[in-house]
Amino acid sequence: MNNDELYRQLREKQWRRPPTAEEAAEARARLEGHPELEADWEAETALTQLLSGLPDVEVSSNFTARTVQAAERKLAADRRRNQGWRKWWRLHWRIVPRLAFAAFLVSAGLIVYDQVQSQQRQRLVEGLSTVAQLAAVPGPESLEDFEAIRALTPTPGADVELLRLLQ
Amino acid sequence: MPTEPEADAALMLRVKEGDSAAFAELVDRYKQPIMNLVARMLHDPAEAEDIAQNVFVQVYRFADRYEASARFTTWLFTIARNLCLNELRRRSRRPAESLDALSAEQPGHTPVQVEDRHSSSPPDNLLRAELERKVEEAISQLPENQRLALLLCRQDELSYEEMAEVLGCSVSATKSLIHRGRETLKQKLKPYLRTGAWSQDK
Repeated sequence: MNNDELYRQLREKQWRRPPTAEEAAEARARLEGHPELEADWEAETALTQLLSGLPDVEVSSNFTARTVQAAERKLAADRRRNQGWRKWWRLHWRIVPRLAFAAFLVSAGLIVYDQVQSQQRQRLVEGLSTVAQLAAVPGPESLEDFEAIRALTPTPGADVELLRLLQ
Repeated sequence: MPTEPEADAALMLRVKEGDSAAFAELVDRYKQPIMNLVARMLHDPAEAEDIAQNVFVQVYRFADRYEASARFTTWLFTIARNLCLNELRRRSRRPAESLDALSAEQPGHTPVQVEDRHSSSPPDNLLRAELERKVEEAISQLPENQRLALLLCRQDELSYEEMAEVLGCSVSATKSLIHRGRETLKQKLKPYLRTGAWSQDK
């Protein structure tokens, strides 16, 4: 183990507490000949002693009693909040807006779908109407004289004698 | 006789069943380290007791979430850390708060002189009080994460691994925070380091 690693370990140990006499002696022996590390070690030791010397912060004599009372009150309040329909609401209130939003999306989708279908039907009707006008079939009245017309003298055929004479 | 960690876990199992006496015993055991941490994190002893109380109230309210496999101290100090950071965030959004906290965060600002409780005591106590104030002030001026790491380092109950868990970072990052915090303190407290610790000998 090199000196740097050893020094790091000694330093980290004394971050928690001042070094024992043995640890201090070991550190000095290891750091001999390394003045910059020796100076740092002394500063670290002094700082640890300063920090260790800080007094405890004052705590009220009735801190424990007050804390237990406060904790019991808070837990009782939590339990009251979790009763009955309140409990259901507390467990599920987050779902309600999500359900509402989902219902909105579905409704909007249905409305849009219905609109599209309606427009398509409209276009189909217009198209059929146009075709119907162009290709209108005569009504049955026009066929009233069909038999009479069919009974008329057929168109005379070509005069063959006349054609021969003209040649 | 059970070792401390086992006793803590056993007490918490009783707290989970609603045992107030077990809870009171845990509060008695850890109120001082929690108060030390909270007061120095917030640099506000007046507010510290309310926050410290809240730490234990949270422990009681959410005792059902405590796992016996985990160390109680890690869980406890994590709650303390979260409440301290919440309070510091709240103060940063509403700066018109504690004057002590404000003055401590302004570099170069001369802190308000607080009357020494032992004003009629010998000069050594005045010097000691002054030194305490300087050290507290220097700690309060550290960045939050370095301050927290340094204060957790003073808790004998926590190993470096547990400190890292409370801080939410790796062990090496935790040691780096402690090292940087201490380097800053050594610079700020250089005159006092030369004279040594709290010894009255010069």
